[in-house]
Amino acid sequence: MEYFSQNLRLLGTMSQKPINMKYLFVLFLVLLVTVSCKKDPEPTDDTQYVALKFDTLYASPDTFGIGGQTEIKAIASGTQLTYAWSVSLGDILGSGATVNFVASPCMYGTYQVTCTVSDSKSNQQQRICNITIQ
Amino acid sequence: MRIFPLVFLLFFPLLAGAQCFSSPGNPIGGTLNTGATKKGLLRMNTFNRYSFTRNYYEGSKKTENMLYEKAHYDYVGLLLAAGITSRLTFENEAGYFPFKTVYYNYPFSLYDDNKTGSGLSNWVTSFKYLIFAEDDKRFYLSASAGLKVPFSREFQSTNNVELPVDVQPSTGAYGGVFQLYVMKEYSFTGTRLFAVSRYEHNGENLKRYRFGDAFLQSLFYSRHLYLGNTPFPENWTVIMQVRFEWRDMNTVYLKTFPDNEWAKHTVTGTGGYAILVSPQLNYTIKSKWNLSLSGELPAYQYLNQKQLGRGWAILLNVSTDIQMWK
Repeated sequence: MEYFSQNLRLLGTMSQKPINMKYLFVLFLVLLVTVSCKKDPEPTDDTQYVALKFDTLYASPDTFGIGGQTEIKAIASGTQLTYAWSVSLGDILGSGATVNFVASPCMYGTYQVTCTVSDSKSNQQQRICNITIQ
Repeated sequence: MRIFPLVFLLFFPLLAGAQCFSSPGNPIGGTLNTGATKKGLLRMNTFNRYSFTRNYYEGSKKTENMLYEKAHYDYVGLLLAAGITSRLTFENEAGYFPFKTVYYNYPFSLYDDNKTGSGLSNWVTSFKYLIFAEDDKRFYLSASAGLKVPFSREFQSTNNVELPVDVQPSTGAYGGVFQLYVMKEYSFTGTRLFAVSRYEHNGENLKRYRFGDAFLQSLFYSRHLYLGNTPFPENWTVIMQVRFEWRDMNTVYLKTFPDNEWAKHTVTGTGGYAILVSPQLNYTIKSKWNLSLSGELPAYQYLNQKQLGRGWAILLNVSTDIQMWK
């Protein structure tokens, strides 16, 4: 009980202390710098821009058995590339330039995986890769 | 007697059970509503359905898990039905998946642990007609035909990777729904028998993927509970549903290689049939609001080749009627 009342008294003296405006100003500056330091995406000027070139899209292996999987790679060059993937049927796992294609348990035939690469100027190129499940 | 029309509509969420992970879109039953609605009556019905499954089936036997470890979804449905005349009812239904998730087995889980789709499903608009009504014998026959419209024809992606068809919230395809309702009431015993036949036809989506047609046959038995000294003995109703479901295999058009021509393929690992059992408990408040809770379990299922089978589901339903005009 004694300990509790001592702490209460200490808290009372602390709350009576005038708040130093200098500290508040420093805190404000720190917040301002933190917020303003948020990194914007780098602008792409024409001198840095590399034209989009989608060289190839391939699966390795491109033929496998039912229920199997394969790795698909997109080889492209350009500025700030993004890779979008779609498939006629099946699951694509992962993201980016390399993904994995997984066939459903009873899926067979030739399926097409499409990769669309976009660059910083929204230019797009598309390649299609055939995968055969036997 | 006033309870009867309200209790009828409680049959409908029981049929909201035909959704499985190989057939995205509205869980079937969203447009189901027993008989025709009275003239000038607006019927509102909302339900939430949670479904979970984790077992693969090959034929009727459980088999080892394949691609998915488990899957679950939550679906919120809203049905509005308005009685245009004493025989004709106009119905609209919409649904939303807060989540629809598949979890991958090892080693696939090394790349992605799970994939989740969410969003509006399909919208179904239909007309229902009371073909035959014999009030003395309390026997009713109705039929309905409706159009299924996808809320979106685009396919959902996450991280620029298109989600698998199993977790897409919408079929992305137009379709048709045809239903037949037969009902027989026994007023003295507070029981009724009810049968719903439903046929669904699905069109192709933009990927030229078509979900197989489906046929459902549901049989219901309902009875008021008289519990003696309980505060509201006449407000409780129990319903037991047994449902048979059949689904045709899905098809997809793929381009041949190297000819680059479209060729139709059957997705052999889809389709099958199942018998499901669904008990339901209803509570009516002031003959106006209805609350119901139901569960669903597959009693038997036969799936073509290997598929993730049907699991259990639980539904919560709230419904009411408002007289809009005379």
